[in-house]
Amino acid sequence: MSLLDTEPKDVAALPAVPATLRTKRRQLLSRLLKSKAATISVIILLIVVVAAIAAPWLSPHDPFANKLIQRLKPPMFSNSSGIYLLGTDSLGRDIFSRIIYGARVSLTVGVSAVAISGVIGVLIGLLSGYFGGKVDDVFMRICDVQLSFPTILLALTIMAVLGSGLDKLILVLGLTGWVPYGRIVRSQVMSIKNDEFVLAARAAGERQWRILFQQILPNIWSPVIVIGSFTIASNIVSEASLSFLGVGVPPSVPSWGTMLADGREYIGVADWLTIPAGVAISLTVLAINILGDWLRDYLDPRLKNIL
Amino acid sequence: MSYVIRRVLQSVVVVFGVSIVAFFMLFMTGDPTEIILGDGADHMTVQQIEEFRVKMGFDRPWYIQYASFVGNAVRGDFGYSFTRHQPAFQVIIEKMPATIQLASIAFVLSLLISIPLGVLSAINPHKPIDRISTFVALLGQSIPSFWLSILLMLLFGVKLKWLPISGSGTWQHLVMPAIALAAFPIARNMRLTRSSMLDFMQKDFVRTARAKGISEYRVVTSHVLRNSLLPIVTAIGLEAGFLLGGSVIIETIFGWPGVGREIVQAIGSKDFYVVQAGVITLALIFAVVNLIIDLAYSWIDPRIGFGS
Amino acid sequence: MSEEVLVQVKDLKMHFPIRAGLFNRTVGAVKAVDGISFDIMKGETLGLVGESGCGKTTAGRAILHLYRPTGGEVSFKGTDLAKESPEGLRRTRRHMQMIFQDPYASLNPQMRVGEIIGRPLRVHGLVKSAPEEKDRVTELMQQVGLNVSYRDRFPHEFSGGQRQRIGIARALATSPDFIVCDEAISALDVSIQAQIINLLEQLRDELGLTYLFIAHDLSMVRYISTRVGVMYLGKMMELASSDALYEEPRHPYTRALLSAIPIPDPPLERQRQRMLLEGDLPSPANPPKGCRFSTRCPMATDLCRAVEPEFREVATRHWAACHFA
Repeated sequence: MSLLDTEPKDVAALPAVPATLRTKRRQLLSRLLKSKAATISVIILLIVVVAAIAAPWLSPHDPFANKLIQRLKPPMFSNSSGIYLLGTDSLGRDIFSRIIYGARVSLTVGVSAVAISGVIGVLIGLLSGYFGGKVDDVFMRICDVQLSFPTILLALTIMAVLGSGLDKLILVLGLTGWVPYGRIVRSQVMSIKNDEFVLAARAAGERQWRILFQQILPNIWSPVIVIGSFTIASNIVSEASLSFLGVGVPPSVPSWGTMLADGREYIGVADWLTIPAGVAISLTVLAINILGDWLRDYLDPRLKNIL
Repeated sequence: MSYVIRRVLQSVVVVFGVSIVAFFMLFMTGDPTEIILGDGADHMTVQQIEEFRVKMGFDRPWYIQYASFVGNAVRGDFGYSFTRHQPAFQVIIEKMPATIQLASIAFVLSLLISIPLGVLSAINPHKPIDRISTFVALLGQSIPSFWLSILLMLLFGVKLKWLPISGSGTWQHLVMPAIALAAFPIARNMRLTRSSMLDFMQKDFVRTARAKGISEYRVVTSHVLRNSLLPIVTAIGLEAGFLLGGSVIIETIFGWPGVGREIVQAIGSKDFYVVQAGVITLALIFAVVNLIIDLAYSWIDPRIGFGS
Repeated sequence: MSEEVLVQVKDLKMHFPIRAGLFNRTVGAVKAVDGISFDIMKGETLGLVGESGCGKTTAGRAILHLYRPTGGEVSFKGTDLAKESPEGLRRTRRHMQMIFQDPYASLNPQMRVGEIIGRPLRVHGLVKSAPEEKDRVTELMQQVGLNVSYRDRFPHEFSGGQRQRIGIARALATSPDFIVCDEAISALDVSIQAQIINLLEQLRDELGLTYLFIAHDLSMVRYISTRVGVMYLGKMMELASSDALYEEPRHPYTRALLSAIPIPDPPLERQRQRMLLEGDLPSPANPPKGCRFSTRCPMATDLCRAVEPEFREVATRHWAACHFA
């Protein structure tokens, strides 16, 4: 499950967000660099992004090439004769190269699934919050179901039926992850739809969809961005968890989750199989969470009570 | 009273929703026959497959199948497990005690650690103790539970050899899974307690209490803590879902013979009736736990339940 | 002021349902506006006053059909707004605009001033190009006394009075005939109130506007209005020309309101007889039987508590809803 499932309580009580995203954007970087934790997180994430993009040029070996003679070789620093920086896995594949390629899988899944669930959640939340009525009733019931059903279990069963694969994984995480966005957007829309500026737009004769997308939506980006950042982290964990359980990406694909699953088999004899992948996931997720926290406090400290 | 009825109805809707998801899971790729038979279909003739389809009732319209699925499920009949050679529901029920044992120990553990730590942090804001526990909490929220499990195994099982790596039977077997499962709730509840308490410490009634000359200890315990526990109680309800869901991974890693591992194994062996039975039973338990917590909560806090 | 009727309000009702219980059944209604009728002549300023909660803001919004009225009829330039299609109504909005109460809430915090003022132009296709829109926005900003160089600023960078000028410029953008000013000055400092009132008057004279001026401050209303209506609990209590209403109020409620205005002349102020209203405003969900004001009226009789007085013409062009008017 998304270990970071955001479960906003009492969301309707949140006041509208007056913070102007546009004005805050200008000072974003200078303010960010003032926080040590946030700066370090940005550096970590930059490394991960660069690794993901430049994987083919950065990795010293082919991450897919099985060399059974070279299997379970320990890392270079513990064995002077080694040529593999972080050693090799049970099929003789270079762990360092697979870690680099793993960043690709993690980020691809994390970001694409967020894009899918973000679009769906924001749309449904907007409609549900603005028009209310039947749409809203149905949406709220779906939220109840979703909250009472661990996301990981849902994703696990769907993946089990569909079979493993990167594209399916993105789709499943994207389609099951929209509820937090929907909830927060709905509550925000409900709190600002009766503001006078919305009424003013109606009085001016604006069309409903313009009011919804051009007047209301720009006012609720802050929580969406914050949830988005937390969800990237939880998607990365979900991808790794599902791959670890064998229903995420196929075992040949270098993912941090599959690497950990592989490493668990040899936990007593070769700990270098698990440690790099575990550290990579933890650092990445930690960096995203710190940045998400920082972003939340920067954009709108009042969100602290619900996110 | 109308709140109670509405809340019960809501739980019914939730379980109904879960049953729809669990049922249509089999139809996601089009034909449940293919999913149930899996690779086995390769060894069968077209006619045999067709006979199987008719025998299982997959040739009927979906709504009739769903109706009979619900009708059977209500009576505890989720079909027959091919791999376990017993009714799917029974397979799940037999594994239930182990899951509940693990989840409840993790639950108690999480409360025992998170709340005192959160309080300690909140009354010493920005002091070393606060900084350290806040960072550890952030770490706890960021480390995937399966990686934490492996780390624990490496340390206590492989290096120190204090605890068994997997299996069940003695209390030692419970230690690592319980810690791994509790880690995330500990982190979240600690942060929640801290922020909730810091919030209340700014409130006027707390300032008044201090101004009256009440000792700081009394202020914290009887004014701040009591009020800030309310949001934590809400979070605890949702925790049940997390613990049951998280147990899927933890049980699999540590070979803990609970429902979660059973579901994962059933998925591996395409024993989908067991999956359906497991998923619906877990959802049912979760719905009931949440219902009880919500009702208890509305009883404690009179503000809830009024209005809409 | 001409004798041409621009807006005709007939028995306008706006009830908001109260929902409760398991299935959200409607268990009652807040009768925010409960049957008011009046005409607004072209070029006049009709003041609408009353305590907060009397339904005057709702009346203003229902007249513009920002809410679908529960009953009654509003005709604008002879067309019944209720019979308009949503699209037709949307187009009609070009000619009837609104200035809002809260200059902080009524401007979208994420939009620049130029965009806020320019949007109505685009919505109604009144400008064909970006430069044309820019010119018109410049013109509007000058008209309401805003520095044109502020075009790219956000609302939070302005003071309350400046924000209200932005709101006025937005309302003027489509060259409307009729503007509802909903407590447009209530949220402002007294010194700024006078500036905005002067601006509104000046614009009315220059552009031939018609106002419905909603307020709770009677002294400002007298200054700007040609006629004034007094509302209480969703009903019109009295309606007359400004002078008649202030000099010879017929309704005890109007008298009570007027007696609460301080007189800026110390000797006179000392002699002022205040008529204090006792009790709270009753709930609009459950208004008193008979005359709505009977629970707080110093003159109330059994007749008042039993029979609701008719809103009748008690003198030439002077209406009041009181048995003793």
